[in-house]
Amino acid sequence: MTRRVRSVLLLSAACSALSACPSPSTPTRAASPPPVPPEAAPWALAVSVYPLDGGARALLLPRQPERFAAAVLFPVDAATDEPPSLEGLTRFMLEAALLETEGDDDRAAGPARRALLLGGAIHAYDDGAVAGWWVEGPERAGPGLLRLLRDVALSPRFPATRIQARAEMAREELAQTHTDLALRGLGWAVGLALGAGRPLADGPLDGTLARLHREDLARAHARLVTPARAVVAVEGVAPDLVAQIFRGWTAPPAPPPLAAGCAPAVAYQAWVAGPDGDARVVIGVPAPGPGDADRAALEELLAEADTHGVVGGPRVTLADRGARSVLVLESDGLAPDALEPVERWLADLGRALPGEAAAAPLGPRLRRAELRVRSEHALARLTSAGRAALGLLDGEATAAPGASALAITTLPADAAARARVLRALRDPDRRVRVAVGPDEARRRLELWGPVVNATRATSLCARPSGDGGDAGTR
Amino acid sequence: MLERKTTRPAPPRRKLHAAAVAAVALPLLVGTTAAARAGVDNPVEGVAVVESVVDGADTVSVRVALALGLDAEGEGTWGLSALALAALRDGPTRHLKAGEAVTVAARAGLVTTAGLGRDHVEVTVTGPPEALETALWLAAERLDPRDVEPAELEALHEALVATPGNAPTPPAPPLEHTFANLFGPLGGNTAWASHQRAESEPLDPLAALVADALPRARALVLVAGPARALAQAAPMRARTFASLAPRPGGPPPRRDASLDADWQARRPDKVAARQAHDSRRLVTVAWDLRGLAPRLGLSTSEDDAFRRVLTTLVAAPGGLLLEPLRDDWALVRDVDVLAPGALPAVVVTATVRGRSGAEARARILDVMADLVARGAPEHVFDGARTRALAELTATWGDPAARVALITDWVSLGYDPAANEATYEDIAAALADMREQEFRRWADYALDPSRRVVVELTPTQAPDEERIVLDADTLGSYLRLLVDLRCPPPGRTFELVELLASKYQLTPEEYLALTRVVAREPARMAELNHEAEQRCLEYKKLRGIMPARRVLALHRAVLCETRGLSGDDEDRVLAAVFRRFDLDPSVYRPLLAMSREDPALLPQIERVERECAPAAAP
Repeated sequence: MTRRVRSVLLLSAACSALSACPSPSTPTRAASPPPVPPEAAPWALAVSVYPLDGGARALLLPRQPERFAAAVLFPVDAATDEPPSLEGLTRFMLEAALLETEGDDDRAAGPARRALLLGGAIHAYDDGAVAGWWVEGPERAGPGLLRLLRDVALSPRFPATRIQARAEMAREELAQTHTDLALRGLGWAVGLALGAGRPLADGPLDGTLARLHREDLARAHARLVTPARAVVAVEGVAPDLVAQIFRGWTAPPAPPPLAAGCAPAVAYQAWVAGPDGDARVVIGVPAPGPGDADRAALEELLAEADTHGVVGGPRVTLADRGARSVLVLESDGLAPDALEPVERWLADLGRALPGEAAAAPLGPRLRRAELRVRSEHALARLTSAGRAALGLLDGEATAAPGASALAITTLPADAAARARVLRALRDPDRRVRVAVGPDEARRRLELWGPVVNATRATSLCARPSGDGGDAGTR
Repeated sequence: MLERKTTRPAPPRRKLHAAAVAAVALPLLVGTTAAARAGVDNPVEGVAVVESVVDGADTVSVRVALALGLDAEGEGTWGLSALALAALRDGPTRHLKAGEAVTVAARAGLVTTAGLGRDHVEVTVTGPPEALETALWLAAERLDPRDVEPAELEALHEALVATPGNAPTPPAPPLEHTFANLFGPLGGNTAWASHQRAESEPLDPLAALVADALPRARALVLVAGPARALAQAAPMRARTFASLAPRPGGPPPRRDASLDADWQARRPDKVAARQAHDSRRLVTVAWDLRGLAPRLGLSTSEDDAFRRVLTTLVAAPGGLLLEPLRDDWALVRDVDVLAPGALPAVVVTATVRGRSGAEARARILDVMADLVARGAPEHVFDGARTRALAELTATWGDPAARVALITDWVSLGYDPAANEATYEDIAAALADMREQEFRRWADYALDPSRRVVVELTPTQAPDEERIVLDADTLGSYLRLLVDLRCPPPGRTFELVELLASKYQLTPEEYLALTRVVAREPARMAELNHEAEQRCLEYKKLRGIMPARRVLALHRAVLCETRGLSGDDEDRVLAAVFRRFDLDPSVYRPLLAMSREDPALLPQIERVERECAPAAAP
C-alpha cells in the first residue's frame, strides 16, 4: 500500500467517524435501530407551593417564554358531589360559570369576550377527578387573565334565563345527535361498577338538563369551589401577584348537605332500551384510580394496547370518578358473540407485541414518553401539578402534600403491580354489563343472570333490610 | 441554510483535506449559527430533509411526508392515499417486517401518529430527545419500503383504522358538500372517503399502484427539536439518509379544476342538500381565500396573517359570531369554524335551531358584511390579533405542532427551508397589522363571488322540529291510538307493519311524533280521553253488526241506489236499511269504523269501484 493510498484511507476513516462529509464508500444504513441511551435527564416538573388566603395553595410552574397559563382546579367525584337525578351537574356548572361573573364591567362582555380582549382564552376543564377553569394567552396579559380566572372561579353569576336556554339547547343537541343513549350506557356501566346505583355519565343526561335549576348550580359551586379544596396553578407570573389577586378568598357559608339518596342496590347487569341502530354492549370493570399505587401499571398496559390496532376490538375508555376509576369497554351490535372482542382484548392485554420480548414490556418507556409529549402543552403541565398537589397524580412520585415544593416525575410500575392489575381486569366476577338496544338485548343479558331495566330509572334503590338488598333487579 | 449533499466520486487529495476540516467543524456549526437553525438537505434526489430548532423544547418530532395525498386520487385511484398511508406506517422495509416499525418506535419511547392531507400522507414520531437517532432511522426505513402483498396491505389498512387515534372520523355532514362546491369536483374528497374507498374499491389494482408509487413518491422529512439534540444526531442523519435510493416522483398530480376560470365562474352560490347523518339542520357559509396575495400586492406571510385574524374573529369564543347568534338571537346552538391550515378557506357551520336556516344564514352574512363595511370594534380586533399571535407562538414552541405547521406551509407553497423566516414574517405581520389594512383585505376576501352557502336538512332520521301538530297530524295520531287500544275482535296489529301500511310512518318517526305530543301533557290527556271514547263507540258498533255484514250493507247501499236520485233513492235506501234492520244514522259511523281496519279497507274500496255511478256521457 503506497503512502498516498494509506493517507486517503486514514482521512476517509477519520472523516466518517467525525461527520457526514462525502466518503468514497457508498453510505449504508445500520440494519437495526441505534440503541436508545438511558434518559439523560429524566423528565421532571418542579413546582413551588405557596399558601394563599383561606387555605388555598398556589402552584408555581417554570415560566414558558412569551406565554402565560393558569388554572383553578379542585377535586371532583360525581358519585358524592352530585345529587341523585342530577348526574353531570358539575360539568354543566363549569360551563355555566363562563356565562357571566360579578367582575364583568359590562354585562355584554362576558368572560369569553374579556379573555379575547386580552388576547387570550378561558376554558372549563373536567377529567372526572379534577375540574376547574384555565386561561392561556400572551405573557403580558398574565395579570388580566389571572383576574378573569379569579372572577370565574370565585364569583360566577349563573344568570337563570340564560342557563335555562343553554340547558334546552343541550337537550336538543342530545336528541338530534342521538348521543343520550351512548351517555346513559356508559354512565350506567361506570355507576354500577362503582356501586353507586345510578348512572355516572361523562356529561349531563337529558333528565338532568330537564330538571336542573339555577340554584342547583349555585349550590354545586359553593360546595365544590372552596379555598380549602382548590389549588391555583400558574406559569408566567410572580407568586406575589397570585397572592394579591386571590387575596381575601374565604369559603362561602356551607351549603346545605346533599339530599340523602336511597341506599344503592347492587346490580351487575342493566338494560337501556334503544333502537337497533344504537345497539351496543358496555362492560365496566373497576380499575386503579388516580393516586392509586397500581395506576402506573394500568396506564402502561393501556399504552401498550394502544400501540397496535386490534381489528374489530372494543372501544376502550378509562373513566375517572374522583379517586376511583372504571375501565369501560364498548362493543357494537347485539350478535350472540358481541362480547367476544372484549374477551379477546382483555386476554391480549399485557401480552408482548410482535417482535418484542415478553420480559421487557414497552409500557414504562412508552407511558413516560406520552407524558412527556403531553407536557409540551400548558394544560397538561397545569393539571399534572394540580393533581399532584391534590394527591391524584397517576402514579408519579411527588413530595408529601403540604410541602413547599413538588417534584413530579414518572416511575415505572413493577411486574407485581402489572400482574395484580391484569388479574383484577380479567376477573369476570368484577365486571358489570350494560346492554343498549331493543328488547332482544335484554333477553341476551338474561342468559347470564338478573337484569335491571335502566331505561327510565334514575337510580337503583335497595329495598328495606331483610329483602336481600338486591331489589330493583329482576 | 440551503446545502446540497450528494454521493459523488472521491474528491482530489487537497479537497479531501478541506472536507476533513469541514467535517470536524460541522457539528459545531449546527445549532450555533443562525443560518443553521433551519435548513434543507437533499441527501438523494426526491428526498428533502428539513431541520427546525425548537428552543426550550423537551421532545423531538420527526415527520415523513410523501406526496401521495388526496389530490392524487381520482377515477381508478380512489383509496390510494389511505392504502399508501397504511403501507408507509406499517409496511415492510429493508430491515423491518410489516408492523414492526411502530413497535421499534415504542421501544424507544416514541409515539407514532399518522394522517393524510390533500397533497401528502404522513407518519410522525415524537418522543424524548435521546430517541432522535431512532426516529431518524425509522424515517429512513419508511423511505426504503419493500413490496407488500395485496392481502397484507388490506390487513395493514384494517389495523391502521383500528388503532386509537387513527380511526378516521366522518366529516361533519356539510363539509363534503362545501368543499366539493367551493374547490371543485375533487374538493369534496376527504380522508374519511379515502379510507372508505380503500375498503370498497377493487384491491389488487390499488395495491399495485401503492407498490409502484411508494418507493418513487417525493418525500419531505421534517425534524424539530432542541438544538443540542439535532446537532448530536446530525452526522447520523446525514449517513442514514444518504443511503436511500433516489425518488424520481410518484403519480403525476391531477389538474386542479377548481383553479380554472370556468369553474370559478360557474361555482354555485347556494346549495341545498340533505343529510342522513343525524337530525341536525346545518347552515354552512364558506369562502375560498386562495390567490389573494398577488391580487392585493401582499406577501404570502401578510395574507396568512390576515387569514389568522379573520379566523380568530369569527371562531373564538367571545368573537363576532358565536355569542350573538346563540345567546342574543337564539338562532343557533353552535358555531363551528374550520380554517384548514393547508387550504386557504374559512368555513362557518352553524347548527340551527328551529325549522328554517334562513335567518341564521342571513345573520351570518350580516355579521360578515358588517366586518367589511365597518370593521370589528378596535379592541376586539386588537384582542383577536394578539390571540392569533399567541396561538402561532404556542404552536411554534411545540415540536410536534411545528412539523404539522411546516407541512401546511409546504402545502401552501412556502419554501420549507425558510420555515424560520416564514414564522418570523407571519409573527411580524400579526404584530404590525392595522385594522384598516385588515378591512381592505376582508373587503376583497369576503366577496360574494368567493362564497358558497350550503344548507343541509336531515332526511332519514326523524326531526322533531319538523313535526307540526296540526289537525291532520293529531287526527292520525288519535286513529293510531285507537288502533292500538281496541283492534277489531280477534285481530292484533304488528305495530311496525301497521305504521308502515296505514300511516306511512317509520318506527323512529312514530317515536318522534309521540315525543312531541308528550311534551304537552294536557294535549296527551285529551287524546287519551278521546281514544277511550272512540273505543267505547267502536265496541257498541261492533255489537250491532259484524264486518262482513257491513260490507254487504255497503254494497247494497251503493249498488242498489246507482243511477237513482231524489225520492227514488230515498225509497230504495229505506228498504235496504229495513232489510238489514239498521237505523240509518248508524250507517256512516259503521262504515268509518270499518275503513280503519286495514284488512277491510281494500274490500270496501273494491265494492265502491264495482258500484261506482256510471260516468256521465
